[in-house]
Amino acid sequence: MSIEAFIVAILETIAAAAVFAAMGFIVVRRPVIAIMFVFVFFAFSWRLGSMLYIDLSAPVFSEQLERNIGSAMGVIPLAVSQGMVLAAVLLAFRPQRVRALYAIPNEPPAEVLREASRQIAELAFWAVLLFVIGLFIELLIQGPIPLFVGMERFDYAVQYAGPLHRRLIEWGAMLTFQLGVFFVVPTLHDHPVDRRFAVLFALLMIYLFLVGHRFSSFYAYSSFFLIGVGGGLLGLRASGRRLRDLFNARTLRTIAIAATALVLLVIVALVYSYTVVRGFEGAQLAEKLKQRMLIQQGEMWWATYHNVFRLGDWDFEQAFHKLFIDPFDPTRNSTMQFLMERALPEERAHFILAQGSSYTGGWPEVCFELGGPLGGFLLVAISAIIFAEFMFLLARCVIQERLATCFFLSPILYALSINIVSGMANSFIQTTFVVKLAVALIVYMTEDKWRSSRVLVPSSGLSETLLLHEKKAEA
Amino acid sequence: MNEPQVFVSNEQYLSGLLTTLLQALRPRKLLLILLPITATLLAYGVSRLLPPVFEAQASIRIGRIDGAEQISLQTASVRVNTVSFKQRVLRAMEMPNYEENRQAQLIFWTLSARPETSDTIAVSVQASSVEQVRQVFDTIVQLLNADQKWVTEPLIADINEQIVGLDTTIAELTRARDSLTALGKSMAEVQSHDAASAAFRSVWLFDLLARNEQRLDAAKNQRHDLATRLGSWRTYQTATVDAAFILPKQIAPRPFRTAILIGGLTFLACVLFAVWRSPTRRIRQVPV
Repeated sequence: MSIEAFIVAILETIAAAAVFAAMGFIVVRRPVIAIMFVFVFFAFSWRLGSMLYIDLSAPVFSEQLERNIGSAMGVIPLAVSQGMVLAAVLLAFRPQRVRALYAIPNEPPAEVLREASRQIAELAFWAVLLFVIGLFIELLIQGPIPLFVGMERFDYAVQYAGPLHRRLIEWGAMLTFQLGVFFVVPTLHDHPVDRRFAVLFALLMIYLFLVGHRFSSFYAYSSFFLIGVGGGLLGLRASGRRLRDLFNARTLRTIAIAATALVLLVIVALVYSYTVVRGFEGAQLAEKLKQRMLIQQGEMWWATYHNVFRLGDWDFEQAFHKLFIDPFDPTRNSTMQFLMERALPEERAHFILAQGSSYTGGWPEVCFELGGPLGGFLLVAISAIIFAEFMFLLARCVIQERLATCFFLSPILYALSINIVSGMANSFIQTTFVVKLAVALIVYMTEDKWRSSRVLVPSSGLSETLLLHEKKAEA
Repeated sequence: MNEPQVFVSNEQYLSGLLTTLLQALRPRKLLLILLPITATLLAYGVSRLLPPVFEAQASIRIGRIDGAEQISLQTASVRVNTVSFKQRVLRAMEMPNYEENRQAQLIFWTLSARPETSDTIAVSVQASSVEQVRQVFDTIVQLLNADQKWVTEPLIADINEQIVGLDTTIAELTRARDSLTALGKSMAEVQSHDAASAAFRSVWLFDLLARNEQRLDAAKNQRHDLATRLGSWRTYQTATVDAAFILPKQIAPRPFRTAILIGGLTFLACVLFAVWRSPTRRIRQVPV
């Protein structure tokens, strides 16, 4: 290894280590925020680790790109981009701001919120339970169970899946976010967590296991469940209570067992998928796992880095046109389609996309394809701030038990989370997204007005009798 | 001190939100009705005035010479998507200043190609009229053929030249065969005194005939091979598949759809405004 390469390797390792250290800091010092951001942090760590492996072990062969990749300084801009997101998160969730959330003046009495939450949770539980029962019935009557016949989840979705399965795949992550919220909301009133919602979540995981899902679905659904949980726990921390008070030894044991079971489920699903469904074994299996775990996460960033930073080959107009105006398949994430067209021969990219597959990554690639080596960082900063501030708004809604708003914000949460992990940007220009945004705003303001109307306003007399403004009007 | 107990049932929570919303909307009934209706009508009227946009997709079969692609599908797609090719299309359609011509801009921005099957590319475009859409496809075909002329024409000319040469050879060999056959007949009719020399001449003549026949067969086979190379199933020009059946579809304006969309968004904006501007009603502690 030359001196120059050695220095580059050291710089890259330092950059990656700095990001990992920042994540470690958040995990240790602000664990609740780490819980809320599991979805993002996990994706970031994996991609950064993969990119570091690609550059330090260069040249490595990428099966998907069909060429040798690596040997550059690709880790540094990736680490800087991820560092910007971490900084935006820490800034948005700074302790005094979180504390201020809990000590809000003009809040309705706790009894009002407690009872409202309890009743809404009842409604949600029975509605979701019915849906889950429907899912299992549909699975039994619809055709073969993929796990038992070694069928790919894509094949099942195309050939056998019923309407409930399709709804789950479309809205599942948002549903699990709601389950997480209802799971944790009772703790805001010093009650234990509502385990019924954990059971519903577990049933959904078992269903996904049966229909052949592997890592990505478990990861996404669990992460969205944790976003809801994290929001509630943030409220507890903000109110000065300690998590230890809530989670006694028995509860922690239960959580540990559940988490272990989930991890085992993922491992079994992965091993089954690779060895039974796809029939890999021996050296081939090892190579496939290496490609999946160490190379595929970072290869698309390497391709973007190579084009934009090393060759100076980027074009805003072309990227904008392919992302928002004329993507290969406008119903799917246009970012990865565009990146694949850039990294592969177009014919091959279109063939893979036409099969319904796509590669991993998308953010921050999309920012640099649009903005170039400098403007890209600006776009990264903007997307990081929007995401962090939205997550803060969401946490605020959970803490303040604005359950209706939480419900209507979940599609926006999904769109923003997918953007920060996969770079999907074409969802933001859909009419349906604009409608969802407007409806969420209307619900937020309506709930705000309703909550304000529940606030006791002292009058000149001292009485404990309450009279609603409306009742007065009626009288 | 006893805190006042206020219980809110699920029904009250949801109906409370609904009531709050309705209370916010009630004072602005007129705005909520009139503005979206006005916006809907306006959108309908304006979109009817907008120039029409037609869209179509055509399959273009890439030409072959002697069974080989003139250019690969990938190259053809990439070439059609290049800025220079689009400019050539517009120039051929007599719309050179595309930056100042909206119709030309529409074609320029929407023209795209991608590989479709093993021998066709799919080309899609939007234009201001059905004729323009068809003209774009015809122009693309003409330009792709014109681009390959420098390869195809010399090759075809060379093969044709070889065919002409072979035709001459075949004609000469046919004539030679006829003469030899005639000579053979005349020799058979003439009585020879020398039987041995007559037999020798006959052998020599048959040998000549056989060799001539071999050369003639070889020439005919060679000509057939060359003709096959230029046969319509191995050599053909780039052309639009089922050109007569391509029906450009009007995609804009869609006044009804646009009007509903604009009306709906305006309604949402009005609701948002009404909720934002509505006063907050509070529960008051009042003396008994």
